[in-house]
Amino acid sequence: MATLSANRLTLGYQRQAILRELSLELPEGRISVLVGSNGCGKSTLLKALARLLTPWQGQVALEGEDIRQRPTKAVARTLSLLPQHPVAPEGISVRQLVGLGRHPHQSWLAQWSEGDERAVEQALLRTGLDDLSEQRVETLSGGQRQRAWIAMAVAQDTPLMLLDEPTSFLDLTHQMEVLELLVSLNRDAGKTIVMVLHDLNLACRYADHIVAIREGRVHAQGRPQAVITRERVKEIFQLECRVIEDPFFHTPLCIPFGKGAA
Amino acid sequence: MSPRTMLAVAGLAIAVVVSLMAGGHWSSPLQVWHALWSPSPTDVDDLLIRTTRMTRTLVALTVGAGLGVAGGIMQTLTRNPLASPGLLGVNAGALLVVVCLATLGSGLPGWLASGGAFAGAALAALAVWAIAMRPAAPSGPLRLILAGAALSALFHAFSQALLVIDQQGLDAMLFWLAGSVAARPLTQVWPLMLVTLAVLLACWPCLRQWNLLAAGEAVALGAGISVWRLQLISVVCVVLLAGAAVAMAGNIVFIGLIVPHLARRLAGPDHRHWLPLAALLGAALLLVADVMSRTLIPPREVPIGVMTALLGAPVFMALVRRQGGRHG
Repeated sequence: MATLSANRLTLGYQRQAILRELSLELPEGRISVLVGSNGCGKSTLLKALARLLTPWQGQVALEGEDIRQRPTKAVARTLSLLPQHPVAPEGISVRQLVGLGRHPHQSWLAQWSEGDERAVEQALLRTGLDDLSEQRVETLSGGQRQRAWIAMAVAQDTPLMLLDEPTSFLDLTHQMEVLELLVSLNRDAGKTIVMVLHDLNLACRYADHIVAIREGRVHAQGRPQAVITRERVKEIFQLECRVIEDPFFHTPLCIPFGKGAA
Repeated sequence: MSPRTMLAVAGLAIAVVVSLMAGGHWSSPLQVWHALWSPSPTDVDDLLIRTTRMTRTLVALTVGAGLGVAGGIMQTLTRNPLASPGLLGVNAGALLVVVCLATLGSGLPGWLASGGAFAGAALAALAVWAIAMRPAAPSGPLRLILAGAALSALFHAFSQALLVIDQQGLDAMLFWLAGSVAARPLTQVWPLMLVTLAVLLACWPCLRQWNLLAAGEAVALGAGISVWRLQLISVVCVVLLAGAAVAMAGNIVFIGLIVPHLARRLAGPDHRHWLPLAALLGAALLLVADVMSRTLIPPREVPIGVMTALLGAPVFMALVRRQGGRHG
């Protein structure tokens, strides 16, 4: 198990601060989803949590220790990352891509081991790609391709997984497929999952913990039922809506009204 | 060794033998054997093979291997299949220093020209790196290409200005533009050969890390690669390889661009397979180009830089068409 938290994090691009003294603790063993309007800083926060960006002030703590003080390879054994829109090298097979995830467990001396082989097999099985393992990644459908990238993160075998919009550009079926896979990784393998999602209703359905970001700060966080209310959605997204209970899953269901009709 | 590698090694060996045979006057394979293992001091053929042809064969081997690998690293570093070592400003920097040196004094000794070209290449790349890269900055490699293009243009402008003012550098310029693997004796180029060999061997531990860098900086960092450090190592490798190549043989185009494509096509996307193959293919291709440059219009020689362009342009166009077809 591993804890991840942000402590008075301030950072941005060029001179413009995107996150302002943001503090956040992510619950262990749960699925946390970062939501917010475009440009609110949720992707920036995820990148900072994954040490892709250097904070101007404050720090990200992994297991209580500043993530930038630890060797990046050691961090990669605890925390894996699926960036937004990754592009696979031309001609690479699914198995090769998944095998790349084993890098933090290898060294000059110990190159490819049986443990690596097993981890790759398991990741392929778990993501349902065992039949496609010899296919080239560029020949896969969008959903399969995203599963292959998740399989690479699974092969990395970390207790913590960060995913930046893992469902963007996927149709509804494939969005569900990816999210169900992540839920199973959380329930069966006990992984802590932190991701950015755009679809509020899917976020409510699959998240244990929702973190709403507004103007570079944590606006609200907690269980979906506690966070997603009509007033909050208006504050976070500047959007009029009604929130009802999903008749099947009993999570909040947000029905957008737009500016005019309310 | 995979069958493919053995085939490449065999092809390279044949190219070496042919290169030792070829010239205005062809020697037989037996003669080559004789010259290599039991040379007689009075035999003109033996002497020819052991000096001129041997030198240009060795230079072509190292320059070709160096350019093939440098191009491959460059393409991985920038994630751009059209990248070539010249994009770092290496060639323009080398030329500027050579032209400067030639302007300063008339008889420019060969070792000074080589050393100066190498230093110019390194300085140019250093400037490009300093402008483009900051630690942990996103899309650094893209800026690397832009800064390289801008500085190259600037350096070329300086070179041209110098040539207009003083034509002393014209010969150096012409040599550089045409390229040659035969212009300098072994005694002048062996340090550069050693640099190339050392860098090629030093690349070995990076091969697996380049596999991850090829999947993107964020992916590589997520998997525990110190991306900025790897980028720095990559640029240093490219500069040393391409700088040594340009210092030994002038401006040889297309090898660094095409060979990585061919190698990836033959050996797949794993750097541990294709980058060594790129070294072999680069060496073999430049040897073939040199043999053709010697034999096409005897007794004159076609400049090898022209030869690689003649061979490379059609191959490159075929590659571009193939890729366009797949994506479009």
